[in-house]
Amino acid sequence: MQIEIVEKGNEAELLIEGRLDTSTARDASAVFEDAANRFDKITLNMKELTYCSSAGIRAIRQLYKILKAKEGKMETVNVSDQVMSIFEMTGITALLSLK
Amino acid sequence: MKSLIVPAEEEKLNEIMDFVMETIEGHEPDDETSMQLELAIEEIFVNIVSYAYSPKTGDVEICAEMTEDPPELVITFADSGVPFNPLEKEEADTSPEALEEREGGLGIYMIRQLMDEVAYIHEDGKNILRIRKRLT
Repeated sequence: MQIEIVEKGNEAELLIEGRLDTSTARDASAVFEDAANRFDKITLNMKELTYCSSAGIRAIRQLYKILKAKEGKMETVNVSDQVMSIFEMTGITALLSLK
Repeated sequence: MKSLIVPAEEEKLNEIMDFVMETIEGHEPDDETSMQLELAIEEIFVNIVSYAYSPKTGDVEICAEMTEDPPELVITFADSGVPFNPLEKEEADTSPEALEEREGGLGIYMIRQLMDEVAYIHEDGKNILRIRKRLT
C-alpha cells in the first residue's frame, strides 16, 4: 500500500494505491493524520484502491473526524465499483463527499 | 474437509487466504464474491486475534469445505480462547449520525452482510464460528 500526496497550497490529493486492510491501515492512518493536520482540504483519489476492510474504513473515518474538527473538507473520487459496494454496505458513503 | 492450524497472529492472515483459495480451486468465484470472502475472513480472523487469547497467543483451527451442487463454501474458525460470541456484540449503527462516533461492531456487521450464513457455537471449550457462502 502506498499513498502518494500531491500538494496544491493548502489542499492535497491523496492517491491511495493497493489495499486498506488490517496490515496497511496503521500506516495509512499515520499518513492521513499528518495530511489532515497540514492541509485544509483533502481529496482521496481511490483510483488504485483495490480493497478496503473495516480497518480501512476506520482509518478513513478518523481522517474525516480530524478534518471536520478543524472545519476542513474531505472529498473522494474514482472509487471502483467493487470498493463502492463495501462503502455503501457500511454507510461510510455519507462521510466521503463523493464527486 | 481440510484444516489449517495457525497461531492467532495477524501475519497469518495470508496463509489462511491461500488455504481457502486452495480449497475452492477449480471453482473460483467472480471477483466480487472473492473479495467478499476475503473481507469476511479478514474480519473474523482479526476479531479472534484481538480478543481470543489477548494478551497471550493461541491457536486457531480453520476448516474449509466445498460442496459442488450447488457450489457452496463452508469455513469454520475454532479457537480455545476466552468464550466469546462475536454475533452478540452490538452491531455497528450505520446511520450517518452514528457513523462518526461508533467504534465497534463494524467487522461483525460486514461479516453478516457478506456471507449467506453465520453461526456460532461454544463447544468442548472452543469458540466455533461458521460461515457459509454460495460461490457464483
